Amino acid sequence: MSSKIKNLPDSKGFFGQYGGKFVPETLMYALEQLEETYIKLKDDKDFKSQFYSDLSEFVGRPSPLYFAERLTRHYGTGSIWLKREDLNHTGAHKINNTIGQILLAKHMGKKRIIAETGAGQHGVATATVAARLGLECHIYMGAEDVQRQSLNVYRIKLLGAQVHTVNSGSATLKDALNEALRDWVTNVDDTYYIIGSVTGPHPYPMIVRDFNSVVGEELIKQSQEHFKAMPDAIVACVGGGSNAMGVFYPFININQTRLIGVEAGGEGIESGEHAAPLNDGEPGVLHGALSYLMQDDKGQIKETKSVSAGLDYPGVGPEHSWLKDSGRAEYVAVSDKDALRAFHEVSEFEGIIPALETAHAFAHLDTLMKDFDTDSNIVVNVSGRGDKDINTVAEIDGIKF
Amino acid sequence: MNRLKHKLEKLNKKNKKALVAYLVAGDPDMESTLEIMHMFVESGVDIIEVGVPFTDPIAEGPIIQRAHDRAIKEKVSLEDIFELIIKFRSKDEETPIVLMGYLNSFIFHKNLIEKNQNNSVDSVLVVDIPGELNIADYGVKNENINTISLISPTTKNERVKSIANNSTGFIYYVTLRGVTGSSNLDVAEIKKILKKLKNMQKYQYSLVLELNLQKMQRYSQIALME
Repeated sequence: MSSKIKNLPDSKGFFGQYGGKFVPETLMYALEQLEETYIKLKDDKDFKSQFYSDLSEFVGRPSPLYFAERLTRHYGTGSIWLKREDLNHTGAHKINNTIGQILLAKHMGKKRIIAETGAGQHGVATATVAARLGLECHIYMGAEDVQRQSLNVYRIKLLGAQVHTVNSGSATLKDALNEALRDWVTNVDDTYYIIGSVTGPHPYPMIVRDFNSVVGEELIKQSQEHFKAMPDAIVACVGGGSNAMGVFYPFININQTRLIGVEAGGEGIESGEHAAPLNDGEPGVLHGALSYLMQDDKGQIKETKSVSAGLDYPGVGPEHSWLKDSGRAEYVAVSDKDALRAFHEVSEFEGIIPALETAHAFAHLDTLMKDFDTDSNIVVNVSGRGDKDINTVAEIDGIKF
Repeated sequence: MNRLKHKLEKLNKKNKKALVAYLVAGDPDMESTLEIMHMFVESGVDIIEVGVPFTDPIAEGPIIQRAHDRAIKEKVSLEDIFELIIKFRSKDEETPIVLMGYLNSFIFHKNLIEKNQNNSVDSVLVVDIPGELNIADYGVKNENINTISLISPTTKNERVKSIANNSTGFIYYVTLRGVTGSSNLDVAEIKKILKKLKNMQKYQYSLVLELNLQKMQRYSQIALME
């Protein structure tokens, strides 16, 4: 079964029933062109060597697999290892994907780059690679996120990109995506849209997953080096799901490794105020793909709630929906409160301030570590660092600078 | 016979063009929508496109986005829209009605489309599916409702044919790259494509152009093109 799971999407962009290409006709040609370019380049020797050399020289890969000694002792069961994506240039896993996609853009001769961003990490990562190639760059960001991630907004501007504040709808990531799609429909001839997660129409979920799979590929090697076995479990937070997909994908056929995605539980699943479509949603179509989705009894997309801007999204990448239904991956949710507690704990135990998104994955260790004995090895994918969240957390803790 | 087909054939025989008008159901409320629909017909509209409000209308510009937002505040559902159209039909049995919206609304309310109470709705146009597919490909089946596909300035020749074959209503030509209400209309490009589509007349499909009211002057240029 699992090799079948790994060979997806099919030629039409479906993972089982999920995925597809649900876009206005104007974008069909652009998507076909992108798919063609990607299929042609992905196994090309020069393209690959350029991609891996950029990842090593510019991003600083491979990212370490680090033994979290005090956290391990705290739980007293299995060994906890951290895959340090927070140490990447720009501070999160997001740069892996943008390094790859900007090479596609360059190859396609596109002069203008656009992207959506939630927490701002993808915006920073996109502005960074665009600056490096001297390309015009526009970042769409919800008004609420502009406010709670003001540090990243300024970083994006420093990198020479333009930030467009989106006020429509819930003024968060979903609305930024709407606006970026509208830009793309309008400027499709000269514009490359760098989608920042494993969401959107085919071929994006596949492309973003593939570029970010460098994380899982490294982890296979590093697990051998560090503990001479495959991990018993990998834990990663899931918003759109690109950091999780990047670390899960190379492990899909490694059946002894449990794959666990942690969604944003907001005020708690039972409250309905959350951003956890895999835990409390149903299949529907948003932003070009069929996937689990938070919607109301009229088929309208629900507004979501999470302390973490990067997870505050009503949909999820279609491959996660497929991994959930097929049973290959498990998906849980963690509340804002628990994520904030983990944010503080990990900072104090390990000297690592994690992103609020990542803190969700850490918070789940409370439940998960009970499943394991001392011989086990558990990997947490540290998707990003928490510098960007300092203002949010300080405000919650009642601290004014 | 399907009202839409009938209407297009009738106009075609008289060598007349169809005037298609769009509104968003429930903007600002359902009573007004019903009134405006009758007013459309009295003012010479041949076909009415009823927009189905959606939280994330990715193909719309700011004006129609705001109309969607207002209708959503009114909590308008597709169920309410079917009721509205049944009411409209009590006075008007002739004017074809096309539902225009986003796929999620139609698959969520699959049963409503399949039932199509009193055959009130004639056609469905889904903005966010590729032209060569229609709602039947997503499990929403009703042979009495025809589906309308879109062709855009970026559609390649190879696909134009399969889209034309797939469209059972008319072919909807999106005249510009952009969201509804954009200003980058390229009259020369439209001329070229109209010619191309006319050469495919063996497909016997009617063609409807998307236009918006801000730029009447340029539309008169297009209308003169035949």
